[in-house]
Amino acid sequence: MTEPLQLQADTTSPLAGLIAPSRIIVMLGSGGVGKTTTSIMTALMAAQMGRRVALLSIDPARRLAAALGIPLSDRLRPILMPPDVRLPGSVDAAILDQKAVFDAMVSKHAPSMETAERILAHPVYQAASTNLAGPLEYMALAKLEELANNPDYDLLVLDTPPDTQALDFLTRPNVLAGFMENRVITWLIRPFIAASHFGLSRLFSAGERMMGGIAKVTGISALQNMGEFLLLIQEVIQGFHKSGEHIVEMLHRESTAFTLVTAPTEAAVRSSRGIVEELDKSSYLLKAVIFNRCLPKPVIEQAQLLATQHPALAMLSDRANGELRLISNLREAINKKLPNVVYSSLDDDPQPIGNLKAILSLGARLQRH
Amino acid sequence: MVPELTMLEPSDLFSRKLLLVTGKGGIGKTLLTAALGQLAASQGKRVLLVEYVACDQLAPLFGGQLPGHTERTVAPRIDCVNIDPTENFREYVTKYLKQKRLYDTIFSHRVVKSFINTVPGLAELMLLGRLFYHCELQEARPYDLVILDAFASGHFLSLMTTPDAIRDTSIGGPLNKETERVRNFLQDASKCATVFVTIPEPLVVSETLDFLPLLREKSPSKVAALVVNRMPPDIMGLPMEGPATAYLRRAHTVAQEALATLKSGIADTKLPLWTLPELGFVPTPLPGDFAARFFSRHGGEP
Repeated sequence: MTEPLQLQADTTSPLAGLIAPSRIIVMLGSGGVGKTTTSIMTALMAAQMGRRVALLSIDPARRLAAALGIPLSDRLRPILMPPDVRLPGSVDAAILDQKAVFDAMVSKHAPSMETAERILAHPVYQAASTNLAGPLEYMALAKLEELANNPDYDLLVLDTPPDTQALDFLTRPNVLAGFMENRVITWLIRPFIAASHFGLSRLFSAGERMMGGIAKVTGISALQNMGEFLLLIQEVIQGFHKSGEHIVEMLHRESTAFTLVTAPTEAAVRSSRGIVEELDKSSYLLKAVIFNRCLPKPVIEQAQLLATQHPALAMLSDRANGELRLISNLREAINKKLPNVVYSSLDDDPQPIGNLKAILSLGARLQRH
Repeated sequence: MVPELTMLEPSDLFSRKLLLVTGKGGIGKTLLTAALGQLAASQGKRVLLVEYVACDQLAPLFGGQLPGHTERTVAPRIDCVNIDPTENFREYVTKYLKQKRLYDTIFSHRVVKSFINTVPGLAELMLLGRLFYHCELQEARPYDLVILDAFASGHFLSLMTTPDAIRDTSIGGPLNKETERVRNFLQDASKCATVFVTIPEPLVVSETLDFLPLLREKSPSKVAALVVNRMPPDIMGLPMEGPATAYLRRAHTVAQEALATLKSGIADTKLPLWTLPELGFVPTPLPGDFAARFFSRHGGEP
């Protein structure tokens, strides 16, 4: 059964009020709460309202890329809408993967094409960009900054990585630059600068003692590769540094809306409280909370009524009671500091959401909470 | 026809030193970690539960104090620790390498933080090193079993490929030797095993089926068990029709289809599979007999 598609914006939707005044919407939440789906939904709703949206997403599983009909790349491309769906606005999306963003950043900030190519071919770079966990959060912010002045878009939606350990990246987006500027790295690099002047025989003379120290710390004795690499990448990182302060300023603007996506489980709510605290510490403004996967009200009512009649209904009733308590606890905690946050919820549906049409109709099912 | 799968009891895993619990975010990895820990402790093992997150999730399940970076006992024979990357690095340098002065002169707290965050793989390597320490090197009050509530799938793969990536950078030297030692430990199936958690939802199941071959190919630690968590309850004998009963029936159908897809998808791997029930709502702290009841309802078929 297909539900009729609502192609005009629903101005009474709780999200409409969030989208209208915003230029940037940042979605935060712990893993598995439906953050990516909610981000796409928000982007589509904005397009219903006539906005030209750039959606930046991170999807390690690549399922989403398939659903949206776009490849994994840091280049924005129009999402593949079903033929019978026409929206007044538009959504271009980029599904960032680590290597694509790294590569683009290197190409953009390297002093020359030749340096860029040397970096891209360097063994340390290759290992780091493809195999290792890296600061994807920072990369996503760099992309956000790049897009901020692009006249093709009037709303940026950022879906943060599912595994984000902390919100550190929001407060110090120039962490990479901080690292380059501190003494450690200067000492690491210096011998290699010397080496390039005096030949490799002098490699370990200039900063030898310090190099020895670093070698003990990291256990690395032959730092040559790493040093070479750091030397090459230095300018790239300095380019990124200039962005850092600008990003922080952008994120503090009134037109930036932080949105918390959560689910009514103990674990998700515990993470959510942490996120709210972190945002507050950095004076970022939380504007909306979306509770995903809530049991529908009629389901709750019947389950509570018949809880004693069947173990499955008892389980459902337990879940309902727990959910209601968690939702009200979290709201109460947030309300103390932020009385103007908009709450909405989405009903849990055992049916999977696999395509854009389904996500679009999801928007219409959003309830004020 | 759904093929027969080899059964494995949860406690069959406890002969290992290290269990790595992974799977997509938000599907019950932490709860399974806690339950495995509780079960092992009830069989007399001394257990360390490890997490690596911004916000403590494991200790609250035992009603314990927030554990922070040092191991703390949260229940009889159960310790918890939430490893902080910065602290972990400091300990590595000051305690393990015995270079306190070096550390104090070179690194300030801020610098270490950016150092750890920036050098790709360093935090991961330090985490693996710490696990190795607890499993193999710790002399005072050693643990019988260490369980890591590991990262979600993609990040977990990064963690497990870190040793190989370090080798491929051809940095060489002592770091390579250390890394090799850790890698050999992870690879030893008698000492280390991965437990992969999934749920019976079509999208999650297809991600699981995509991801398992990647793990098999790239991770030194092999998957020893596949756990399907949150199997919806039996619907036999549900009373009158209505929204709740319809919801339960639909959830049941979707889950059964997803489970069948999963089973046929892993048929050639001989991977043991357990199912665990949807609990509705899990109150915290967990009751003392939580694991016993949770696992008593596991099975090859729900």
